[in-house]
Amino acid sequence: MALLEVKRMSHHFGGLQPVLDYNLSIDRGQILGLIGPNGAGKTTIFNLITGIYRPSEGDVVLDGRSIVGLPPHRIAASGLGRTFQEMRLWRHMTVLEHLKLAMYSRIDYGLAGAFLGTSRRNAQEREFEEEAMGLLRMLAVDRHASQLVTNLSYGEQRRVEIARALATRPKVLFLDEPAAGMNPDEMVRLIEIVRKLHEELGLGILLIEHRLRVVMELCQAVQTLVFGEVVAQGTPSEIQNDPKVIEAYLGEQRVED
Amino acid sequence: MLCLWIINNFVTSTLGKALNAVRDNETAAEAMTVDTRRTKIIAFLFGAFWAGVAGGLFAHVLRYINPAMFGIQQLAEVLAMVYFGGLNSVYGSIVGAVTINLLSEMLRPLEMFKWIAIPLLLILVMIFRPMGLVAFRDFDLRSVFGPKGP
Repeated sequence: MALLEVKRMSHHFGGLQPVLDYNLSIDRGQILGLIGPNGAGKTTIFNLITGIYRPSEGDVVLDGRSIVGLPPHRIAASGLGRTFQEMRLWRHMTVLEHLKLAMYSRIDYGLAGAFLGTSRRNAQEREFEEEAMGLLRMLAVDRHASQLVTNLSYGEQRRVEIARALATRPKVLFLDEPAAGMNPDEMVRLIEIVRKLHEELGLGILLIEHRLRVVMELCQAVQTLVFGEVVAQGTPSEIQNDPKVIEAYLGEQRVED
Repeated sequence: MLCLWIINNFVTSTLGKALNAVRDNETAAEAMTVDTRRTKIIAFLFGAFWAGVAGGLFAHVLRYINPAMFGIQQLAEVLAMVYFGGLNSVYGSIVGAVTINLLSEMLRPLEMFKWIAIPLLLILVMIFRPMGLVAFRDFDLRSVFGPKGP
């Protein structure tokens, strides 16, 4: 059984693009890409699986447990980490605080501990700090640990977001356009980092991305979403030559003479 | 002092930082395993608790209280203290409370004009340090009295 399985998930709401009969299965150590034109519903699928919206039909099973209908923080704590397309960092907090906060679900000192500064609290805060520093080193942003996130460059902020998602100790990681707005250098760096994470942590990764280069280099399989429906599925090179995909991106193919 | 120690312990803990995270971006907090509903309840209770403590102490100082003492003027004065001293900072609130009270006593000879001088000062602080004097820990004297300063 796959680590994360989405079975026949559908969703209809308001004027937004519905998601129809969506299926997904990710194993440990698998990187899956999700591509599609703007407004196809890629981010909606992320929001449905992570519990921000509740799907009207279908089931989501993470590690053998159904997570449909749980509040987002419970879903996140059960092993599903994510980043956001429009980075959602906390403006007034330092990089290190971001990572510590993502360990919220593991706090066990309680309110009394927090008020009285018990040794349990201090020990756990230190423990969190060490783990956070390890992750920051992995993403090469450790020298900014005590900086406010707003002082970091764009690419660095993106990496902090990934580090924050990792601090929740995910089994499956969702990356929503991690390369958006990056310059080519930063992009190459990102590809290296995602590959390293994949090798060292053995996560299942679902990646939404517009930059085809990132998808082609990282993903073992790709799904193409058009108007809320998966129209093509396969290896990156298969997808690249699929007429339905070309049609969705470039319009219908002209008959050659 | 005990109260300050407890508050400081709380706001420097990750549990306390969750309050900031929920304020800055609730969706992100929720996605990072923070129980936002619990956090909001804690924020509310925490505020109400210290208001209760303050009220209790206040009653002991004056040995007399009546509802008219806590009118809009008192509310405005407390808010002014917090803004003056700095948002999101325990020390800021102390600085604000002490300065506003001191100013209020020092300017007593001006009588009516006191109520022009203090708001004017508050406006100046708002213009040059929109978050207050010691907001968000980035306290730096030069930025207060530097070339930009009043």
